[in-house]
Formats: sequence, structure tokens, C-alpha cells
Amino acid sequence: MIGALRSIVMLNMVGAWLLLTPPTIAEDIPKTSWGVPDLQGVWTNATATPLERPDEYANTEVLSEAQRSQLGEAVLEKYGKGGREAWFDLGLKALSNGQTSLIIHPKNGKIPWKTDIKKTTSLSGKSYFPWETTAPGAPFRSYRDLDTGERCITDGVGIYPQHPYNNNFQIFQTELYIVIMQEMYHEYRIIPLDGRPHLDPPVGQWLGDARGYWEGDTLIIESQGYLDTKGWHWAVPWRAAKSTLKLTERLTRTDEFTIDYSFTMEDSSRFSEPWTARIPLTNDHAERGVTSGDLYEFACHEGNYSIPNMLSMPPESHLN
Amino acid sequence: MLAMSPMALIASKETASTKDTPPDLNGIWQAVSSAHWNIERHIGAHPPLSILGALGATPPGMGIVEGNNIPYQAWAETKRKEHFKKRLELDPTIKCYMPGIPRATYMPFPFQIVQTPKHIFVGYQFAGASRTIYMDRPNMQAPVDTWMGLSKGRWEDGSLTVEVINQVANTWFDRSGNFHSDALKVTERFIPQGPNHLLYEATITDENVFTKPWTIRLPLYRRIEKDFQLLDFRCIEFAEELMYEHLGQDPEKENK
Repeated sequence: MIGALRSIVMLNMVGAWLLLTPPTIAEDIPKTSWGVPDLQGVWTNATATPLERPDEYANTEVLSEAQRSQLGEAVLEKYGKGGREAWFDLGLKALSNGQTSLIIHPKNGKIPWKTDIKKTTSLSGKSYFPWETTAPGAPFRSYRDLDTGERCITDGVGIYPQHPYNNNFQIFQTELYIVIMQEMYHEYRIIPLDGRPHLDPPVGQWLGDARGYWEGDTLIIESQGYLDTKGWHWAVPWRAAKSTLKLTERLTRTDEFTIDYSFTMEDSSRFSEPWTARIPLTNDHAERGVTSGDLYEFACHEGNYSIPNMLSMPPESHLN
Repeated sequence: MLAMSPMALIASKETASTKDTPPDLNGIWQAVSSAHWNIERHIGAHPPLSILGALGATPPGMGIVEGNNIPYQAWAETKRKEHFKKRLELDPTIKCYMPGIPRATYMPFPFQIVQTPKHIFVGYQFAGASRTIYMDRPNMQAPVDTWMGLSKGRWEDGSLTVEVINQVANTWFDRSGNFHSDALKVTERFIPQGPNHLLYEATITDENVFTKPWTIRLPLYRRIEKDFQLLDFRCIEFAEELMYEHLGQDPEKENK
């Protein structure tokens, strides 16, 4: 209900241009005792809105309610059958602001891969997920052929709703630090807000060396100093850590229920221009069609039976 | 009885509580101890693998167990000795599994406390483990047991007291095979001693394994280096060869 009301408000406000303009901030957003917006809480970014704009919406920047419903139905059709619905927690609802894609820049809603790079990131082999046709690294002859997520290390950079489950984040906040705790792989970032410089020389980190600062009511997090993972496989290639990457994230609490979140990927070794995705976080989990509650420990590595199971199969069985 | 006594300690103004405010435990802390090798008092010992030489040898330690000896039930003492003999195979942290509480506190890695009124987040460098201490939900229950357990905290006499329950039985207390069951209950106390020191106490209760509750106690030191920060030690990538190298068919290896 709350989500529906907000949808109406957003649709009245929104036009194509507004998707690229600063978010509208309610007057009564929660504030900390030291006067900055309070970002704390348990948030989800699960959504049926795709990262890249589907070709059928090439000339559409704002979706109708019927089109948003279709996106949700497509997710259900793709992921939510065959018994998987029992343990998946799918974001079945598209963003209520009607974004056609999470990517809001460039305007076509597509990752601006450099042409030659895109070729090298194309995938080959048969996926271990029945709903995907390809997987990096296949055939799997060694654990080294599996992607970083299968190895329970990470799926990469940004607050991004990749998974059909565990798209939950908890934020803790003090004057000097902000903690972004991600349920998936129990990854956390403790981000200094005290103005200190980035590590120089850098120490390669899987999620980069992050520094945050407030610009008005927006928390900006700049990360660099990523681990260079050449030769590693990633389930989602654009999320791979690269030493050439600079990531800028922006978090703006816009109302009681919402953090307007966006990130900009800047890596001239892979992308022809910086690109930006906007993925509002909500603490109203029902608005995205997922379960609410506390974060629980995701002991992925401790219970990783999939590596022994997959490597027990003949490598040929991993190929189309 | 160890020489350290909380009664003799005086909290400094930097970490101390006042009538209206709890102590400020924010910061990056680390134990300086050989307790991660063995929480009981122990002599230096040969390395489990001779190739490691003196670098892999066990350093001696004064121990952190009050009264020194862990009050094992007879069967459990036997099992602990079996664990010790097979420690290279069985110690869960060799595989980079999350260490559980209290072991995470005295692993030879820093950890960071981020303290808010409702939650105290603790991020451990080892294995990227973490836990949230819930300060305002005394009746909270865990739906399942976890490696780091459920932590519920309260301020008590100027110190942080944390009850930790719902830990899986898979974690150990140290590298010497000291262990517990899933009935483990840990009552921790973080007692400010000054701007850069905490005293850490943990009372261990597990009626399946021990004849009575017992207590460990050790100081924690603030990492005072300028701009110090936790760095990645996810460590999965360092344990995979041990765990998975024998699996699969690696043509490059076969051709060597």
C-alpha cells in the first residue's frame, strides 16, 4: 500500500529528465544526533528492473504500470519455477519510478563496453544454473575455473541486486565511519568519513579502498585501489575488481523508506565512458516483493558443497 | 588465578562511561597473545610440519584461562587430545572457516568495533567475519545456529556485557583442539581500562562438554597507528588449494 502511494507520487513527478536529476528529499527524513541524514537500517535493492534496457524498450525511458508488471512476471518465469521458488527471494517488482533500466547513463541504458573488451568477456560453456546458457570458465577442470561467487569470495563491486536471494544490506553509522554490511558472502565495508586519503601506495582490495564524505545531504563514497584479478572468472564481468577502476557511489535518504543509491563505474580500460546505474534501496521489502527481517549469516564457504560436486562430474558435462 | 584483575583497573575518560553515556568502544583492537595457539598455559613446541622450522613452531604462552585448566568432562578431554593430534586436518580455521566467539577476539588479526546506540558492529579481519551485537533486543531469538552466533549486549557497570548463543559446534577455541558443543553459551565483558586498552573476559558455559563454567581473560590493545584500517584477509583464496586441489581434472597439471 505504501509502495503504491509512493508510485503514484513518483509517476506524477517523473519525466524522462527527472531520472537524471538529483532526488527530491522529503523535509522529515530521519537525521542522526549529529545532524546528517540517517542511513541506518536493513535495506533491499531487489528489483525486477534489469541492469540494461531491454531492446523492446529502446525508445522508452519511463515504464507504465503494465510494463512494470510484465518485468516482474518475466523474473518469475525465469527464476521462480522448478522448485527454486522455495529458496529464492526474488525481487518481483520493478522500480516504482518506472526506470526502464538500472543504468541511467549512457542514455541508451547499456554498458558502454569497449568493443574489443566485450569480446573477451563473452562467456563460453554451459552454466551450472539451469536458467542461464553460459558460464565463465567452463568446462570446470579445477576450482580455478569457477567464478569468484561459486568460490564464495565475492561477486564484485557496488551495491547491486545480482542474486535471486540475499539482496539485503544493513547500514551502521557513526560520525567517523559508515558500515555497509551485505548479506551475500557476509561482505562488509567499514568506510572512513574522516577525510583521510586513500592508501598510497594502494593495497589491492576486493571491494576497493573506500573513503566517504558528505556533500549536502548526500553521502559520496569513492573507491579505488582494487585488487587486480586478471585470470579470475566473475559471474558478472563488469563487477570484476580491476586496479584501473574508480567507483563513485551516492547515497541520499529521500524519505522514511528510501535511499536513492547510484554508482558510477569509471574504467577506461574496459568502458568507453563512465556509466551510472541508479538503484533505490528500500526498507519496505514488500514494495519489492521480498521478505523482510534481520540479516543472517551467510556461511557460503563453510558450506560450499558445490565445488566438490561440480568437480566430481566429467568436465565435458559442463559444455553445451 | 592470573595476575590481571578487573578490580584493580581504572577506566580513562576516553573510553569510560558517565552517568548518562556508555563507554566508547569504537576503534580497531587486537590481542597480543599466543592464546590463538593454545588458550591454556603452554611451552614452546615443534611445528606440526618440519618444513616450517622455527617459523611454524608454537610460541610459549602464559595462557588466558582462569585457573589454567579447562574443566573438560573425561570423554571430552580424550577428544581434545585427538583433535590436537589431527589439528592440521581438523582445525576449522585452516580452511578459513569463521572462527566463532570467543576465538575471533584473540586471533592474531585486528578487529574493528563500530558502536551505535542500537547496534555494535564488530568486523574481524580474519575470514572477513563479523557480528552484530544487538543492544536493544534482549528477547531476540535466532532461527538457526550460525558460525558467529547471536550476540545480545547490554551496558553493565561501565562495561559491555554480551551474551552469545546459537553458535554451531564446528568452531574451536584455539589451534590445539580445545572445543565445545552447540550448547555453548559465551558471556563476554569488554571492560575499558584506559584510552587504548580493554580487558576482555569471557565465561564459557557448555554442560555437554565441561564440568562447570570457566573464564578466559586477556587485554585488548588499540591499534594506534595513524589512519590504521582493516585490510582484506578473506582467506578463502589461500585455503582453496588445500581443500580443492585434489578435485577435478586440470589438464595443465596432468601435462606437467
